[in-house]
Amino acid sequence: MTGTTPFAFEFAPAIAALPFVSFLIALAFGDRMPKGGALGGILATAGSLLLSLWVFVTVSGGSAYVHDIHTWTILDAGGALGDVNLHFGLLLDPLSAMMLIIVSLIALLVHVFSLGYMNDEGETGLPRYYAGLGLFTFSMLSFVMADNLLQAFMFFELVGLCSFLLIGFWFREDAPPSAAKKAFLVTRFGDYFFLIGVVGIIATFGTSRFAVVGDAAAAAFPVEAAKVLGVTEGTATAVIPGGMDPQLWFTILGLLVLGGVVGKSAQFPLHTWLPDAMEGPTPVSALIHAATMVAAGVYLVARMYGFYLLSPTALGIIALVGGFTALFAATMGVVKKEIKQVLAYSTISQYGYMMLALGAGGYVAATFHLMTHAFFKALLFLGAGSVIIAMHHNENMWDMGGLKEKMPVTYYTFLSGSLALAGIVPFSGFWSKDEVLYEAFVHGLGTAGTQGTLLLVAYAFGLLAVFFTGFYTFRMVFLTFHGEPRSDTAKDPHGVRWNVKGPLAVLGILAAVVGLVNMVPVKKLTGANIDFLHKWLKGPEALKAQTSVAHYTDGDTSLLHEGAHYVAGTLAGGEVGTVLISAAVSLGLALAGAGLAYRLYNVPEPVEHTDKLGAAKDVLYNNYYQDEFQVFLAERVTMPLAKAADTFDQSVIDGAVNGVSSVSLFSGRRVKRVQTGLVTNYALLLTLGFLVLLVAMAATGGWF
Amino acid sequence: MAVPAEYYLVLSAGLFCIGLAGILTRKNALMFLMSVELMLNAANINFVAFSLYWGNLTGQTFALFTMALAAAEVAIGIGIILVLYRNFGDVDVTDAVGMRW
Amino acid sequence: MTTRPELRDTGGLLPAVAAVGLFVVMAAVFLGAPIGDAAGFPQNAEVANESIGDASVASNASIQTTNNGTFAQVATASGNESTLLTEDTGVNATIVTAGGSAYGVVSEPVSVTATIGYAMFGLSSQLPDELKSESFLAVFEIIDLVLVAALVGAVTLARREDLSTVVTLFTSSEDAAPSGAVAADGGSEPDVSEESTDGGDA
Repeated sequence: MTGTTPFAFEFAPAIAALPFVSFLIALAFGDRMPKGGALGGILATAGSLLLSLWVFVTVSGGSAYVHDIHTWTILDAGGALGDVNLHFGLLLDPLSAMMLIIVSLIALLVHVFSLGYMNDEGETGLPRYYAGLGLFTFSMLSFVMADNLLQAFMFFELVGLCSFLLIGFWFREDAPPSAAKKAFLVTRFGDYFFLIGVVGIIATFGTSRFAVVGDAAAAAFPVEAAKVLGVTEGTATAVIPGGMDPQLWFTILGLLVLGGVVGKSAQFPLHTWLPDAMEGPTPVSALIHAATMVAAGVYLVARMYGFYLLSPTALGIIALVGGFTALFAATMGVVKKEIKQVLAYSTISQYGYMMLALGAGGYVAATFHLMTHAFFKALLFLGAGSVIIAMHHNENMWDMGGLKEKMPVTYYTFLSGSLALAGIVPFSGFWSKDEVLYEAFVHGLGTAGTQGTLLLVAYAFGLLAVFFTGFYTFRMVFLTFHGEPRSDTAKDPHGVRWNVKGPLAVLGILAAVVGLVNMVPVKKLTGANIDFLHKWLKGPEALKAQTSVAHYTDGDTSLLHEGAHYVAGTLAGGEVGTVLISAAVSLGLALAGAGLAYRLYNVPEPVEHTDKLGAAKDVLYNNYYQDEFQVFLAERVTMPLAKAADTFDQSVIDGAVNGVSSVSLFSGRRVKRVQTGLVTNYALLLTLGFLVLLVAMAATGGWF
Repeated sequence: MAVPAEYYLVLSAGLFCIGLAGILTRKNALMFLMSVELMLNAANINFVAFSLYWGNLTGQTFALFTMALAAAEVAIGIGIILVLYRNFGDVDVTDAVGMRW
Repeated sequence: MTTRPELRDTGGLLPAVAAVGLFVVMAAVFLGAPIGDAAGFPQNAEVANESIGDASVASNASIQTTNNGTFAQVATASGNESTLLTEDTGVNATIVTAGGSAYGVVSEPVSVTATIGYAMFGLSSQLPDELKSESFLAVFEIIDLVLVAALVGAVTLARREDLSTVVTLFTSSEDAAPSGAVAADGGSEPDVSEESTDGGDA
């Protein structure tokens, strides 16, 4: 980044500022504006989208931008660390530019969709709704552009707050406020660890920057960490507490931050809030609880991937948690009755895939799946929203059926999204999910020891989940759109307007084609250089040794090999053969799942087959009793502890305090009798006091 | 020959303690005034004695001050006693006990 | 039955013991203190001091008083040699020797009272060297009197408005309005029913 700053970067703060303005306008004037502030939000997000595209183009031209906008304070940490700079900053590199487009595009589409879902349905409290959306968009965009972990944490919390506000939008009903509270508390539990992690990282490295450009005095903590471990050349200072092994300490820090990630991205065991979050309005589910906010966790890992790559343990845990969550959530999705519940579990499952990819060293794969998933899952949620409008807010799939003829636009776009979700070639989900599984597979094969085994186990989880994904996806499609209508509403659904169909169409096309940006299997087969996303993530020269994919995973000197010690292996047939086998297996499983769903549910009068599951049915219906387990933890473990602490507080601490005060009261009540009001007594007291003083001084001073 | 300063001091202490005893035991406000005069004069004795002791006239001058002050103090004291009498019909200091706990 | 005088012992013994105790302690301290001799006030002050020669002439010297003044006369072989000490007559003049020389010294008695007056009004030139004092103390006296006068005035003129009734310190019940005045410190006149709402000693 020599010479002048590209013009687009100067405007980058406006990407976040525009939705903030719309938030303020909706809050202040929303009730006096037509559409309850929706138009302001649409304009703002459209502006953000245009600016994001501009930034994207500029980044494509080989520029990157790291810039401090506002420094709150510079602490003198003393010792080796020197000054610690706490600030707001911008980091615009390929990853954040891509995420900016995803967020602003989906925010724009969701705003438009909300016109159909909220305004046309005659909801009240629309200014509050659009203010929430605006604030969320602002926070999410700021999070994406954050150049340091502290800023990221602050906006991480802010999107959590918006999620809370929007889930509880219908706060007069019973379920939404409770779901909002649950979402808030569960994610906050994870964020607690995140906060400790942030403090730990700042205390260790004296900085929480992700990357540095053009500022010789500053340092980026992943780069510093790599130098401390000797993975890359150079010297760096880090304060390791208690003479701990740096490797161990960095793993602890990484896992602490991972706590926030697990909460926000709804990974096992903190996934329980996401299905309940479906109590919020469907566009909110699409924007926040599918495409963007839940992605914040994964994005954060990708953002500081250079740090995680230094810790094989943390990577292994990420991979295992991701793989397990993918399978775990997918199995729960197969028995749900509400269309949004299926999608919620699907979302958890898909984020599991992304975590699996990150844990397995598939940086590009994770980013790729993040992008495709954002599009097709937003599409599916909006499609579900369209169906819900049509069904007069009845979400039970068993009351649907036969909607295919009644709402063809919704059907075909939904189908596009479903094919992508199930991972059927050539829809986007196939390419990204296949790459995820491929990365996990080859690194599992090639890496020796426990690490490799762990990856293979995680891979097996992911692979199994593919089957379930195909099954529940098409179960949902068939139950919703195929067969005969099973209720009166389904026979005569409510129509939807352009503002619903438009976003659906845009996302439907994207869900079908966006996978073409990184067709790795085709590249391996034909040798054509069509892995555009991969190339693009290599990024500008300025960040080559900091956040580029080349630094992370490509080549023998990358962190993936030097830090995480991952090695790629192959099956019979070399690389091409492995790609083919991997793709064929995952596609075959997806098709098998879809085929099973076709057999069971694509009939005119489908019936529930859950009874065939036997005892497993109850377990699945009850989500593996995870909620009960957490309630158990809260009631049986935390509550007694809290009660004991309360008892201690009431008796010992308050007792001491009250004791002191009652002693004062009692003695005060006695001592005040000295104040008789009689001048003579006061004079006597004076005299006696003087006498005592005189005697004491005479005795000590030797006057006698 | 000059009297040693110790004797003046003992005299002064005696005078002071007599005044003090008056204040501590009497109830009549007028007796209070007289006792205070005694105590002030004990101070005067000290002033004059130490003036002689140091050969410095300042003490003598201050003894004059004290006399003027005593007169003024009596003026104030009489005023207070008048108010006391007006309110209680007596000059007994033990009657005025409103300023207590 | 005859009555013997009895000790009125209403306040208990403690006040008396305290007072006596204070005296005992103070007396013990004073008597035990190494105070030493007093400097005292000088009886006389020198007003003139003339040298009349060696110490050897002192035995031949005498004080002579004429109408023109007081002289120190030294009888020598060549006749009498006189030195004028002061032009006044009837003063206290002596011949003293000090440091190998003889002097004719005139001194007059010091008046302590007059010196106090000089000191109070800052007449430093009149002060004899032997009698030290702070100067110009009358100022303090005046300040003291003014302050006391202010205090007396304050106590005397103190008044407050109490429910549209002006209450002053020395208003008697005859002067006060028929509705009844409340005395300055909150006590109430006998004809006031609502007494001492804010009184200190009711």
